Amino acid sequence: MDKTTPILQLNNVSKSYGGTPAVKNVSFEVRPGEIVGFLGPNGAGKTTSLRMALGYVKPDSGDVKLFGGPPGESAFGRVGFLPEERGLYKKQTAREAIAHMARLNGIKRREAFATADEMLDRYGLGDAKRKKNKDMSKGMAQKVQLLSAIAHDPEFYILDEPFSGLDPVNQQVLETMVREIAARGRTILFSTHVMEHAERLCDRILLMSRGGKVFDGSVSEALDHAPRRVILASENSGLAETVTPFAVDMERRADGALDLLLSREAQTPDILERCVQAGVRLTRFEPMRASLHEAFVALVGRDALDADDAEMTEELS
Amino acid sequence: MSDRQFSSRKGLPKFSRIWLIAMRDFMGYVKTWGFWLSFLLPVLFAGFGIMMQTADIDFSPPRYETVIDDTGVHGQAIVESFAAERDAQMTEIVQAMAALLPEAEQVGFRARVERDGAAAGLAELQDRYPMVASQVELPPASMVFVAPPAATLEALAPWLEGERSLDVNGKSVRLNGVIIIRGTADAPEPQYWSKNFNNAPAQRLMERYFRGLAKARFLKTGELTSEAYDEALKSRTQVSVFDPAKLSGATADDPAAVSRLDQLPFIAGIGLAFFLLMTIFAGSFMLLTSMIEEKMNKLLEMMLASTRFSEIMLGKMLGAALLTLASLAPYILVILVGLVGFFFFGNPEQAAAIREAFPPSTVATSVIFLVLGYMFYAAILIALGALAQSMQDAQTLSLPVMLVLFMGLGVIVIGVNAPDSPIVIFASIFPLTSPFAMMIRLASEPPLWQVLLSMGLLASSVVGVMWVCARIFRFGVLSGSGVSAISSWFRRVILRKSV
Repeated sequence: MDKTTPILQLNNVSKSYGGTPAVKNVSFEVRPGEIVGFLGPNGAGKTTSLRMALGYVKPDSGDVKLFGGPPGESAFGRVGFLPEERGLYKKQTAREAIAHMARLNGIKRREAFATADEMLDRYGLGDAKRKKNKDMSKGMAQKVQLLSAIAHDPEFYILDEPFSGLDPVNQQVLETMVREIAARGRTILFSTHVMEHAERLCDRILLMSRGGKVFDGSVSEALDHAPRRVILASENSGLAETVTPFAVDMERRADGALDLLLSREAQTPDILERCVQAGVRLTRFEPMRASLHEAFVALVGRDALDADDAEMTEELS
Repeated sequence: MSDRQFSSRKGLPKFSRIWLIAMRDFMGYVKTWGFWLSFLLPVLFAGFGIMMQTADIDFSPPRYETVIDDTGVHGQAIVESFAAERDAQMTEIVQAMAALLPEAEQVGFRARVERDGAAAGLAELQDRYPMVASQVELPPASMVFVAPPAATLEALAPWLEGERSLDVNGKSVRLNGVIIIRGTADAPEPQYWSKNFNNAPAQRLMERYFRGLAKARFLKTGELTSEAYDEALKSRTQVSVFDPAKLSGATADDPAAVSRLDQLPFIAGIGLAFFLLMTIFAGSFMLLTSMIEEKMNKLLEMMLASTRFSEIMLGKMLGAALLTLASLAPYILVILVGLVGFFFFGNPEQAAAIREAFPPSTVATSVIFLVLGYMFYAAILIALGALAQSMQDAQTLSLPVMLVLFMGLGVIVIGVNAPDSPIVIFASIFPLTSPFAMMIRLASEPPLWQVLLSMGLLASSVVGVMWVCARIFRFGVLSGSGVSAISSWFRRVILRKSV
């Protein structure tokens, strides 16, 4: 496989479960050396797409290529997969858990244990090497799970929600790990709900919603889809009435300022000009940088997110 | 990653992954206290036995009995009949040990034991085979008769109640019972007094004595004696059993008569069938719990990036089989040591006969049925475990499998008595029961076509079951759901109902 051949290709793949479509006609590719963020609300089809990518599930139509061939045994040892739902053998120690997965990926016993020890030391778990998994904190266990998935130093990392359940400190550690992996030229595809991570880490973003791909491009391209906002404050009355023509939505903040969601046509100099004309003296004029979260909301649509929230509430109850 | 590393991974034999999974499962159980308790149970029992022996604690100490006889005849006769019974019993035990000797010497040895007594026979064996026979001890007498410490029942009460004890050879013992015979010699009125009614060998001895007495009195009416009657029984015509399969090599001196050795393949077949049953029963718990644990641990999905579904299934099956073998290792070891000891130090003719009774083809066929039978049931149990979400689910799901296994147990029982009955023949071909039934039938050398048909059907069923179970396993693991998903699929796809 040459260096320009995509590591992963999904061509028009669809998959239904019991007549309900989970993935609809999705195509995308992941090229060598890329960090790709795989985003989307719950039920968007991310996990099914990843399972098809790994060959766990056969698509009803379309085809999948992993390392230029059909996914399966030929990719064993070349992929490190951290699924969304993950765990550890409770009675194994941390080093045994990591070495076991490394050995399943073809690493020799001695080398597997040496790698496990080295990784545990490097990521601050040196003291927990011989600690049983059942005695570890959730954060420690999650780190061990990730190390188990990557101990064989694969070419392609598929990480399904790697940040979920981690505290901010451990999220930062994981972010550093992802950067280190990327620095070695490895390819990473990871799904996440935390937009800040995607924004900071990804070269490219794939956005799924309701089984279909809604966006595939760079972070800056995604941000172009985000609505612009500006925060305004004035000591005079009549600010809200003055700026209403420029806004699709407006919210009064706790400090009294107005949070304006600009319409597509609105330009910030025009707002300033209008305020001057109306005699509204501004004490605050702050155009806000668009966030990936806003782009995500704009691309996916409010309805999909509401459905996602309702689903999560139902799951929690 | 270097190309060198990748090429070595690609060439990794699949068995390595199966073995890794098997060993992970195996070690997971081996590292528990429960395993070591069951593993060391025989050793613990042996140690307990040695401890009891060292401390001179007898689990079934002899009962001390006494006799008060008003007739002056029957009391002494009952005690003598007990001594005679015990002599006969000991003689029989030592005569059975003649099997240790070459066949030509066995008849002479039995005659010498009959003439000189059991102790002399045992001494002779210990001279010949000190390693084997030195450990043999004749069982102690179940009763010891002592002189009555008091003359009347009323006076004996403190001893019978346990308030007072007897002094026998310097040892303080309790009087367990008293035989009282009132009346006259011709019209005795026997009674047995004891606080232990559940185990009263003296009562049974008395019943045998008076039954013999009644027989002797009856025979006497025809001017016959009990001794003459017993002699007549000894000289009865003996019935010989022959095996037509042995006709080809039979001669006038060495006819096709069936000996105890000929029963060995049957016994081994029953043993193997039970071994398979035990392996499945013992392994079933591990397979089910291991699958539920896997689902709860949520590691399978990660493993699937480097392992096939079939390899995980086979690994789990191998792990459970290894665990069962390890649990039974002490027993297997004892059998192996016994066999090796017998082949090296025992009767060479019998060792040769045993080798002849188990030709390699029979051994190989048995092993094939053992392996296929285990794989068949283990695959089903793994698939059920993959569908279960709790132990409760697993128990409900595995109930039908357990019922089928009990059918296998039924086949073993029928097969022991009638290996060629139509139901056993059918069971030996029907894949659900064939592993058990065919192992029982192999000893009676069934037609080759039946063996091949049974093996073919079982092997095909194993492949089919593994294929179906791999799909269920894959579905159970990836869906994370339980039986409800199957019933929902059944309603939707088969019954065409919306769910």
